[in-house]
Amino acid sequence: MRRTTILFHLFMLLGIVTPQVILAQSAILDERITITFSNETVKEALTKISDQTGYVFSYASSDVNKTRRVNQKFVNAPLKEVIRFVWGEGKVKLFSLGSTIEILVVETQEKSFGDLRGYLTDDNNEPVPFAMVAIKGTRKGVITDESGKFQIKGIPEGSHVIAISSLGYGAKEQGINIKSNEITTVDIKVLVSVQSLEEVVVEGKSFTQEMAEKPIAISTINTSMLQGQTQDVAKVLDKVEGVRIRQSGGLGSAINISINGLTGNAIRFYYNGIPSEFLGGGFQLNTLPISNVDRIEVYKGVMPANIGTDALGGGINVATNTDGIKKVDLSYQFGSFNTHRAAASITRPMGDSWFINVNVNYNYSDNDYKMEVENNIYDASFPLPTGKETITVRRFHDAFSAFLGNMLLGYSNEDKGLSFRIGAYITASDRDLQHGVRVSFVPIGEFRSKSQDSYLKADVEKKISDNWILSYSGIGGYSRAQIRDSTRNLYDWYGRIVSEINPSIDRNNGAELLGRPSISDINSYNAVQRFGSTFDLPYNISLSLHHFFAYQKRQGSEELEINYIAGEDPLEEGFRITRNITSLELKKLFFAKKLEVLSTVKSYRYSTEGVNTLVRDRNTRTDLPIVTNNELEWGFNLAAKWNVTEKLFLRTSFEDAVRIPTQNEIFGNLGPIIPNFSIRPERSRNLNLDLNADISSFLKANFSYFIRSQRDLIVLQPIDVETARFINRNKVYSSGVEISLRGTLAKKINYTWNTTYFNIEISEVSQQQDEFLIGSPVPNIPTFFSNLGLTYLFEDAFKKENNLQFNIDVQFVDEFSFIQDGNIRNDANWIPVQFAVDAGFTYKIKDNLSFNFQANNVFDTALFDFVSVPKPGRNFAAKVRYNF
Amino acid sequence: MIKNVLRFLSISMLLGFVSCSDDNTTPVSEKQTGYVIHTTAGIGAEQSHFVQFFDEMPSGSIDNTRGISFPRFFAIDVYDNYVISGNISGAVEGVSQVKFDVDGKAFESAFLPTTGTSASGAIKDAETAYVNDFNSEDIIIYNPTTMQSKGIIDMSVAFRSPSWTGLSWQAFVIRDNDLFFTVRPGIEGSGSFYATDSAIVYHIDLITETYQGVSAIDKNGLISRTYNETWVDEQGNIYLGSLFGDPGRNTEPSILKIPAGSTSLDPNYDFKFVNPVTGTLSSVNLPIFVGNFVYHQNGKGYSVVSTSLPQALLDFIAEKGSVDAILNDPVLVTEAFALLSNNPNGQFVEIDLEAQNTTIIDGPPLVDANNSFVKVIDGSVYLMATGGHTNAVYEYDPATRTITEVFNITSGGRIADFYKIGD
Repeated sequence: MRRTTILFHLFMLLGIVTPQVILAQSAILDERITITFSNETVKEALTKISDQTGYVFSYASSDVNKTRRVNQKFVNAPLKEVIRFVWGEGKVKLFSLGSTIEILVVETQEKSFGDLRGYLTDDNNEPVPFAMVAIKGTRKGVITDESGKFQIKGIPEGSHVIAISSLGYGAKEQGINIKSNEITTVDIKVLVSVQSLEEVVVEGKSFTQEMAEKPIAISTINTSMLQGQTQDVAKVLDKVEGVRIRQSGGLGSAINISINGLTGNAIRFYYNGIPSEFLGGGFQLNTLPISNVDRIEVYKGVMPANIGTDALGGGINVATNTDGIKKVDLSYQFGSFNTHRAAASITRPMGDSWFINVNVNYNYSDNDYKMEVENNIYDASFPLPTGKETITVRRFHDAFSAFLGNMLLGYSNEDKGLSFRIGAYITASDRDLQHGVRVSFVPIGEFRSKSQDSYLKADVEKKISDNWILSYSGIGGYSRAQIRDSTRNLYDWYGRIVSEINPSIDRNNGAELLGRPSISDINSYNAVQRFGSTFDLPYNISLSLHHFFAYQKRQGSEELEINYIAGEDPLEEGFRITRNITSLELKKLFFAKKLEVLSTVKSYRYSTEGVNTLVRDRNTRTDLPIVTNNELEWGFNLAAKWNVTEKLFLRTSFEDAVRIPTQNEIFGNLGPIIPNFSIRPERSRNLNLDLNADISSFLKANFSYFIRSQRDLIVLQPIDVETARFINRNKVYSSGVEISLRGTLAKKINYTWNTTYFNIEISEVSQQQDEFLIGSPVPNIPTFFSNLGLTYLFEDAFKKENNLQFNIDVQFVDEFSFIQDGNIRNDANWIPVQFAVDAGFTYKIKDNLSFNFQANNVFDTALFDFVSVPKPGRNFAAKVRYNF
Repeated sequence: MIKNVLRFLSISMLLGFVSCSDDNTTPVSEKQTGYVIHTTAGIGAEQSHFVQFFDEMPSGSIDNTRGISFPRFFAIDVYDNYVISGNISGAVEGVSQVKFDVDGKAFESAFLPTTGTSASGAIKDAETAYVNDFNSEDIIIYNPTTMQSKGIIDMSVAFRSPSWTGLSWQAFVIRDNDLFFTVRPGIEGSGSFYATDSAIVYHIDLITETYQGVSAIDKNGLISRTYNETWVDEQGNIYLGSLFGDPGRNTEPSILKIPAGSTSLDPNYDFKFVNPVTGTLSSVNLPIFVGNFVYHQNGKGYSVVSTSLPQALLDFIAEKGSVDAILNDPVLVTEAFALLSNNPNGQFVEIDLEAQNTTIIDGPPLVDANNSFVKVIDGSVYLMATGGHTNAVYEYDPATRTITEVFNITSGGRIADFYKIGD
């Protein structure tokens, strides 16, 4: 039995480094065209391709063979093959960025490199922020910062052409000469465009932009402009329309993600495409520093087949930068409550194809913020609390620390059609806990949990042929969680052990959180593997087959025999859950690629095996009661996007999604949560409608309408005062709107504003006596919230090339009740209207060094994500960041 | 939507001047007498307890959401013009004294701090009451009028089995200067099941407020007294409902007795509930399910008993092949009990405690035996019938053996309790 288990895990670990492969990121180059060239020059031939496909070519004129003539007929040939033929001799690399295809001549001998720094202004000498600056014929390109500055490193020595494009300005090209090991500076002026919107040359799109324009509903956050700030991923996400990140305390506290009204396990959190539940305790949205994150993708409803698993109402994927571009990014942040956060990210290319990337971050906080609590009063001469008092105290047992480190080896070779990333990850966390779901009269004073996780991760992509790409992504790892909940000490809110005041008062059951004491080590063995295969077929059709396999075994040891069954430790036998999710995705472009339609069918199969801790004869039976389960569910989705104009698109998606119950929901937690072996998967039907308009640099707008119809929702049902179990419950229906506006005013002020409003109501109940609830709002979900963010930029502040940027963020959350309120309002049931105001500034010195100071909850208002659990009052944080 | 947007904008204008105000208005007077309906709706952490006050006996169709809702509310006992409940704020510790203001709005009028959950207790008089605390093995003595702690009854010397890993006291009943209650022991990982096969009763002398002893009868399950039902008859006999049958322990629901003048269970009184329909102890080998028990008068008590198997359970048995197949699998037993609890299969019965037999009360539809119950108010018998399409209170006239609907609940959830405060 044990040998079999070990062999299985060995297989899992070996499996992840097997070179199977990837996902297409440049499908454009694999598109097929039919075209004939008749004695045309290279430039003429490329222009002909542009006319036919709509793609724009970018290359260095000096690299073109001006004498070459092209005579060839291609029928349904891959675009990449056609371009290579047209270009002729010499080795080239092709890259697509939005609708732009770059042709880069590969040098056969080592070249010398230099850097370029520049300053982009308009005809009024106003800086031009967020313009695209690219070195033609290379992969080098950046976006100007708020002050119009840019820096491009590692440019091959020699003459180049800089291409500039920005909304509202005319496109411009300017020659430069890069010298080896020198920094070349250039000031460039661009003219305000007098062209109509339709006449504006199509610029290349950033990856973030590309993601945001997929047929499925997605909000993508490019973190490049935020990386100097003190906020973490959770804080950034909380400002996204439709998203609420609710935290039960300070740094490292439990998080509840809500997207369009769906909450809890219905929303999945992925880290580079891997579901976080397989990554251990070191991965939390509120511990990931923004400076190590490349982008955050928020999927509302449908998730793409290459990321999605069994998310019911969408998910969040945090993607770190693995593009292999040389980078060093170091930051340290400190703040109120003895909070320290350090992060380092280093990427070093090794030759043309290889690179190594190292990321490290560490978080620590005492989380000892002040809050108002009700406290029992104890007296040395009386064996009971003598009264209660309302006091303001600091939290005293909520310290948290987490470490995350990973090292990644990357390889990318266009010619061989192969790229892969192999990495090792280590995380560790150590957390105290101050209270349970609610803040009550008796705080927790000793409960502690630790986790250590380590795993290997591999991502491989292999182009088998011009129209067939294989992909593989997987992890194999081990997590160890330690729970320590065994004490007779009872604490008061001053942090005192009550028995030191009165020896007759203690914690009778010996446990602070779990109902009965536990000293347990729980080991989880995780293997997650995702295989993908994408075929490009004629007629602009592509077909993708993805399979997600996840195996998770929870096994460990319990020190206290009080938790044994039949004299055996149930943790030794453990629990297992296996998930197999297969998806078949079909994509087709219609009407000159203006309409993109995508459809996916999914099968969800899962099996479980574990100990039934519910047995009543646990003291008399001689064997452990093992329960197994095997289920199959089906789901599907359909998404479409219509490009009305280059700046306006509509999209819609519909899905019937499934979420497989978690281990805890099926087997309980060996504590107060008892098993429910008959629990069913949750289901939801999700509809999204989006209108996205890129009107000008002053205004970019998005309007969304969504509907969610959920059934068999899994919720925790108390059975008595000691126990609870997860059950399937009523149907819930929600619909709402999101509006998002953003833009730049006077080239100095950036604004973002979004608001979300929805109704979420009970649409079916299981008991006739609860029928009155049909149409009632589902309690404990904020349904109306809004965010406003403003930044103002001072250029050349105090010194030329240094910038000072002020930011202010205002968040509004309307009041909501955490239970159904009666006709007679009970204020205690309501979380009041909340305004959170954060403000700060960032001072940047020559793009390399930045200092940030942030004041959160400036007005020190009472903020709550959950009833009775206050969030920190006014607090401060400062950050220094150095990058080059 | 527009209203809300305007609201947001208007509130935005006041940004910086935001302040939270609490309604700290203390009612100047309270209701002295009246009726209280308590209903529960929803599940999980979002469960609401609606509490509504009526000056007169409620009648007709009642929308109980017209009352006030609390995250927690359960009457441990009722005395004078107040209700003693577990903490109504939602926190698990502490005991609330709840009164009703002149508008009938329930509010916490006083509070007894504890270190754990309190769910069972009894009031002796205006100055003395007793309540348990899950965090303590002692009994708390307090003044129910002022909610001031007075001390403890030391239970450290009381009987306990070495196999118990913890315990809590419940089903408190007071007779003159004697206090009786039972124990719910914690046994290694016993989950929600009562893991002994004896009914156990502890005795406290309320003059000295000291533990006196314990008595037990085997083959009986947990003695339960959910609300403040009457258990003491005119002669001073105490009838206790040992209502939970467990096939795994061969225990059957029964009524036990502490005779007048005695402080121990009568070993010769072990009235097993017989299914009044089948005449057997069980329903197709599954134990009959008994809701609460209340003593009325003249040797008569009332309860609600599962007399038939709901169709859903019959279908489940057919699917699994046999009852034995279910009983041999603890998981299936759990599912069977859930079906038994959640599908109407119970009937109200009149119990002759001397003849030890039961008679079905005709009239009310089948109810959920686990959640329906009987109350005696001002000497009248009221049947709280809930389950299926029923959610109503009936008055039963023992003389004519007829029922009359008093009121029904149209909104607010399942009826959980109904009582009168004051005289």
